[in-house]
Amino acid sequence: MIPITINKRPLSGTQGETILDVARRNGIHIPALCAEERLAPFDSCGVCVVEVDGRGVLKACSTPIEDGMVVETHSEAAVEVRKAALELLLSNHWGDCVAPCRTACPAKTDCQAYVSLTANGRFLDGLKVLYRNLPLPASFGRICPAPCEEACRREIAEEPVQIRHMKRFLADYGFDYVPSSGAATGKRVAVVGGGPAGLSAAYFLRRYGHDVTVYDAMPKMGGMLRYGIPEYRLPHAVIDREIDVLRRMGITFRPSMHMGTDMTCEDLERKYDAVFLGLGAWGTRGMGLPGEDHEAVMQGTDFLRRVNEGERPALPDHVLVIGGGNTAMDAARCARRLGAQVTVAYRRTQKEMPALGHEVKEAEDEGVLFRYLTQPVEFLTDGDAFEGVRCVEMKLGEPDESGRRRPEPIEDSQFVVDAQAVLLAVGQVIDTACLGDAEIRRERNGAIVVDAQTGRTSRENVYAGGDVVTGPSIAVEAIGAGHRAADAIDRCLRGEPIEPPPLYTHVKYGVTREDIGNPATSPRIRTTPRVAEERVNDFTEYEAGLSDREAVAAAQRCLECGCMAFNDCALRDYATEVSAVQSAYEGDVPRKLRDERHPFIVRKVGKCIACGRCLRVCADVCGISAIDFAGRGIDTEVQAPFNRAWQDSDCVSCGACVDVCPTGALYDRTVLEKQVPLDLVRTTTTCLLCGLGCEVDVLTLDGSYMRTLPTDGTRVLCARGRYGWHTLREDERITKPMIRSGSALREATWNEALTEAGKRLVAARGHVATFGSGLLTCEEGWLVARIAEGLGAGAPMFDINAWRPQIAIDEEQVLLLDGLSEADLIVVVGGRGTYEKVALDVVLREQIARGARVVGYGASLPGAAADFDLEQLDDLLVELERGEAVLGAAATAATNPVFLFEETSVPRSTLEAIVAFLQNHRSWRVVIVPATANAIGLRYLGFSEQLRTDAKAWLTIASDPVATVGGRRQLLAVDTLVAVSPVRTQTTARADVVFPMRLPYEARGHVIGARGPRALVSAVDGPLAMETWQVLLRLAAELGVGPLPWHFAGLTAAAECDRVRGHGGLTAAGATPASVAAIVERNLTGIGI
Amino acid sequence: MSRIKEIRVGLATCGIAAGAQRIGRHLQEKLAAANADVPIKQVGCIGMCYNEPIVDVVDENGTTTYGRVTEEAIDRIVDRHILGGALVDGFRVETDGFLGDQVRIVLENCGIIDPESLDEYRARDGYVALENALRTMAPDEVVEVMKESGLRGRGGAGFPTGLKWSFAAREESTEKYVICNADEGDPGAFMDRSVLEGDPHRVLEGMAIAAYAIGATHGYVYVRAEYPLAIRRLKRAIADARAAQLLGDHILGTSFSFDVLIKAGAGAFVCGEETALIASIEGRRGMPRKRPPYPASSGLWGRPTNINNVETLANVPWILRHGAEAFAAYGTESSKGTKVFALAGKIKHSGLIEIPMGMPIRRIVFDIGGGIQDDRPLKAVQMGGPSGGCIPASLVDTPVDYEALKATGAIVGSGGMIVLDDSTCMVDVARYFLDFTQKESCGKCTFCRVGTKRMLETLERICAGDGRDGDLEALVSLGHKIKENSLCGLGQTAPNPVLTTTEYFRDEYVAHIVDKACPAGVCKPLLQFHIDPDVCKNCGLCARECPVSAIAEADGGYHVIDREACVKCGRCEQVCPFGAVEILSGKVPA
Repeated sequence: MIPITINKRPLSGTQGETILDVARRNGIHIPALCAEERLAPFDSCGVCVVEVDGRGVLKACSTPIEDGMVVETHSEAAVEVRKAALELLLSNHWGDCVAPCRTACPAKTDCQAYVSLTANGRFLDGLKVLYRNLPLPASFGRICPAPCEEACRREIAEEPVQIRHMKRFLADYGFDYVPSSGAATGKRVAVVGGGPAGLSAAYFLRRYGHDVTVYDAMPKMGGMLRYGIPEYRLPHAVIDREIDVLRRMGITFRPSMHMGTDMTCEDLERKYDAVFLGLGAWGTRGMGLPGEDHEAVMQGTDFLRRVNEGERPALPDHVLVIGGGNTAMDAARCARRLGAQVTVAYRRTQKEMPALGHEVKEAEDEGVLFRYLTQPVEFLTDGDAFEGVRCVEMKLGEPDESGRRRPEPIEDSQFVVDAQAVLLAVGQVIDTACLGDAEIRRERNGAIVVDAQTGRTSRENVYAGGDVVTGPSIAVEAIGAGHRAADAIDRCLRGEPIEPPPLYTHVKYGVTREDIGNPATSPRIRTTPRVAEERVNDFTEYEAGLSDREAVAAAQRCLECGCMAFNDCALRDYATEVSAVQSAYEGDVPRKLRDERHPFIVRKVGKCIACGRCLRVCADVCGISAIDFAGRGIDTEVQAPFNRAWQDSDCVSCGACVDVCPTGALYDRTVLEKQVPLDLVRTTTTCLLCGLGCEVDVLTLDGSYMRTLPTDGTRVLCARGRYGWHTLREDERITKPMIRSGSALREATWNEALTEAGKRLVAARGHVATFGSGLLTCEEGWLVARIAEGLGAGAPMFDINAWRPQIAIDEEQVLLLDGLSEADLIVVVGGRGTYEKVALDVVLREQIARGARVVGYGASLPGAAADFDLEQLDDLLVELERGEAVLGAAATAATNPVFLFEETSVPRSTLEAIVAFLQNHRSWRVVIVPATANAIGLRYLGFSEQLRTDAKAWLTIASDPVATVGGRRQLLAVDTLVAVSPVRTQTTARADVVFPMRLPYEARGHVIGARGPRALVSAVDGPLAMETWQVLLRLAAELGVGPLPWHFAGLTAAAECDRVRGHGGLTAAGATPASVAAIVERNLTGIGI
Repeated sequence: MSRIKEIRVGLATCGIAAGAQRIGRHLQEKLAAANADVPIKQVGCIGMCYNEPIVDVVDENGTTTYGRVTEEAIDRIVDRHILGGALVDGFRVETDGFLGDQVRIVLENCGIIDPESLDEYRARDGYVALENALRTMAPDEVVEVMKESGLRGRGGAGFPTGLKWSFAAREESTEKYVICNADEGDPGAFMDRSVLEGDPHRVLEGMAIAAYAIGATHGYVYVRAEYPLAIRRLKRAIADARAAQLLGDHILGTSFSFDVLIKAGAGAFVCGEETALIASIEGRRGMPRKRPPYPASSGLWGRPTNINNVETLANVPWILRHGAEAFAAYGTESSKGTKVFALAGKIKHSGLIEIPMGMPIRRIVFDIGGGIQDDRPLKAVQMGGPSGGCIPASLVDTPVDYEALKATGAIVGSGGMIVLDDSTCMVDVARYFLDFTQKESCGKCTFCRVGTKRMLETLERICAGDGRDGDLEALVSLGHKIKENSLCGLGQTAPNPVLTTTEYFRDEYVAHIVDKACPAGVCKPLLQFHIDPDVCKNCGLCARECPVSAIAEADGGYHVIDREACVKCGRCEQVCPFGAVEILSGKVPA
């Protein structure tokens, strides 16, 4: 052992270990981008540098430990170099961690995600994602000024994506979705103010599991959304619906509670663990002009509130609205709706007007007149009479501090506007008088002073946000402030540091049309407002939302700016860690486009950091070498030979390169057509797409399948396991029972279908053949076997695709795949089945690396050829007949020789020769990779390869015998076909009765593949409420089989499988019929018997 | 006429480029027409590349060298010297100054023997050293001689050759390799090419001796494919040596077997780095890897491998023939023997020279090199190629010695020596070399791949007049980081030209960055063309020649340049008969 010290910890390592090896083994963090545990040190990225006493700054990944070495992983010198390395990489990195729309959104709504989910037709998923950051999507889908759209890159091509409309579309779609609230924390928070800021804080706090009460002075919740915005823009029914969602989440609302009179801040602080103040800016500002106190001069906000409370105030013929903001537009348009002639007076020109362009246009359409460069100077009153407004004409002078040109009066230009009433809309102000003397620090204008990151006020447990902090601003700012404060409160209540962790975010600057790939022009889909003449007569919503088709088309315009690796990027993590600055080193960034030629793997070449992990894992772990570096200097780039598309190289689509990419340069396509960066949930289960039965992680968005990844234990998956689910189309799924009606199948109720199936199968009792495939779990297989027995069908049969010759191999000689680690000679026999099993290659390559000799007979072993001695399959036959001596000297010398083959890939004669050889050579073992996933388990349960030829009726479960030539021939003699299947097949097309069933990622149970017994954990919700065992139980009952004992409660997770493996006799050495029975029995309890 | 022993025509690449093949053919025809039976032979480069094509006439009075020979010159040389016995003036080259101060060990045969003749090589004691070693010395004795000689690797790093051999020699392996590194890539360097073209057997003999010393049976010459003549002569030499039992099985009847293959490299500069070179021979991308393990323990195909540069190996036969002491008699305490340099740049005698180590740079430049072209002032000497540094004129008395040069920030390197005069902009020189190295980076290390590019962009900006406060400090800081954190010699030395120029010519950087001026008048964006009204005679020639019509007559009888329109092509300055056009930099008269 070699003693070394890292960060003052005395440690030790062995000869040949590097500093990084020892650090990792002891849980000491050293950032490293090019180093990967399975790969030899590459020594290139310069990020893993550490300071070694007396030797300076060295790379930890390639510096072998030496006796007495003293290492500091985060010394000043090391961090300086590490930071420089990262900043150099960042200076050459072309990408956005997060899409610009999301960055621009004050509430950080995940625009790209819900837009793209909409494009994929995943409306409910889109709504769920929308709700992650926005509690009032239907409201904001109507009134948000949409800073996101200003940032949208699509504008470079023609116009931004209609992101705001997407919110409205999803929220209005009609889903009855209520976001779940987290596990109860027992903490209580008071929120004062039921406007956007308060509701936002309340919503997020509730999602985190806190008990939230919202107080508001008004009789109804919604704040300015309800009382400031006219109904033609935001109907109250929409607000009511959204408040109701919050109520259903468990938020308590206390309306008509006035701060300062009904309660004080101190009261709330005493009663609650934290208080959030979202008081808004409800104060009004006058102009200080003569005559202003005349009753004909009203505040615009007061007017709007009255209208929103249902009042319809009588207005004189001509109303003058003073101001140029959105409140002015709202007041003007409401006044029009109440029948008045309306003129808006604004002291600058239309160009400087703060109101949104479309609002001004719509107001004009509705007949509102505008007087620009007009400044009122006096309200002319004569006693009670109001005689108009004296105004002065203005001209624009030099720009002021806001950048707008300052209006200056023109001399002798006074004139009188003949208005009988005036609505003042010259701004709202903060009014925090209600807080009384509560010691909360405020600005001179009354604004509450808060920490920008957390919203915390000068009082420890009091937070604030929204207009009461910023002054009047757009509502979505208040949503963001409420969210930030809720996060801070949550962290504080959980005892975590209140400051949010900083996060490095990379941005593309100066994006051009070329950089976005010169997309074909595709303008926005226009939504047509109701005609002005009609809408000006009422307060009904003036504009319709997008239809389904329009929403999908509009969403498809999204350019997918955000990085797919936004939450899984070592470059970003390390940049955050060292507080890297994107612009530390300036220079040209190669603006490379996405390479989307590969069917499954997308490359973002501009994000590549040339760490070489992808090409090294391809060569050194998978043995394929489909890709390598090309070019020199800054132009060094990973390419397939001659820069062909990757799939035209030796690539086998195993995705190992994607898994090792430390940044977003390589990513998998998810099952979605349009890619979406998403936070996904990982569930560990088992791949059932071949006989290996690899452990996989299934990634889902709220139960929707997205992608599959190998687990750390599996390391590399084959293309089929990784991307096989991508090929499954939803329209192939069977979701309802069906009964034949003439030449077609029609949908039927469960009872109808069960009756029909029962009648037909019972009639054929004694002449029924039952088929099952390796997709069935042991539990399901057991039920199928009981049904087969009950029907007098004998043993259930395997799908004809999986038929193989009957072989009798002593169980003692059969190994599971991990048994190979004991072998010193591995004889691989036969071809490769129907696709390339990289997962198997990787296991074999590990054995070679360990020192085992691998000999292939008739085996084409792609990517591993150099490591295998390839011989002809015929030679094996000859050699087997002559005995092991002829298998070569290695066979004679081997103490643990093993055959390995895939059962369907070996000709019958060879198989028989191997069986005979095994009988005579007891030291030999065999690993058989079955053709289908649970073939081993089902065989133990009595499934047989013998085809029953006298059947008159067939019952097929997850099996497609009609797809085979033999099956079609046999079918001629069959007059009843009942099929249970997750998807449409040739068999279901010929069936008389069809029942749906779940797919493997939706199912639960146990399976036994070549890798051993494993649990199947349901990760995907799927379209079927009923589990397959329930379908089988109902069928059994209908057929008069049973009653069958069944109980599934104890089986929910992989942990259960591990428990079974420990207790039930299923050990790594192999499963046996008895151990499978033990699994099944575990799930059976004596219900009813 | 029988007095003439032979006529030598220099047919190395430099000679051929200057038209030596045509001259040689003309000479043959002329002699045939005159019925003169005089042996003509092709030889390699004698080093006086500035005088090519060169024809040597050897008679009993010795060797007469004719340079810059034309067909008319051949006619006169044949008529008057070959046939008439009189020397021909006008073309005769005085060689004493150039050759007199040289000590030729590596180049002892270059320009003298026919490189395609094994017999001529053997006639000058070729393969004697190999035969002596095989018959009279044990391998470790050979290693010992090399150690005693003090020879250090001539490829650039200067690692003691004998020591390197001893590492490979002590490894136990069934297979070992000797590799000759002929991947000469420094701009302006052509030492290895000249040796391979002029004396290929010398390199093969050196390889065979190395192989015997370390116990190798196979060798590779890794040579750039851009050296087709060297490859052709090397192939011929290998074939001849095999036929003569000097390569192959049982060399000279002994139990020692050794054979050599040629691997033509595709021109990646980084493949001169030994681990990248090995990767390239193995068929992989030429990318360096971390050492250790050194090639001596795990090299080609994972076997012990000894890699030496061409010049290093070419020293070996001489050392064995004359003894380690004779070699060590030349040079300085730490730097023994001789070193070949390729003189290039603003020097009168550009070409190839071999001098004893320790000679001051001043003597090389002014005595052997003949001084600066047009007798302008010397500004700096760039040594060691793109990995080297610029030695300012103030340090021109520095001796050529590994340690002394290193102290200046430059290196001996492989032997490129580029002489710069006062018309050279040092920022531009640094930019030029960095442009080369950043393009030749293999792309592996972040600091080298991205860092050199960022430095280059900064230099380009400075040369374009967009230099900013802090650029100089940023260059130096990043330069040191690149040096300290790159894996191989390329990255570890790439910033050297920048770091030495920022040290010795800081004022010039400041002029570019702060004053937006290029004192040497090289960086075009920083220049302004100006017509001196007092000198202008208003002839209008400049206006007629200006390709962008940026010159017009002004009131007052002179011409002026519209600086907005001027593209700074310099045509006006060239054509003005009165020298009225000035090129200004920095502050310019209105």
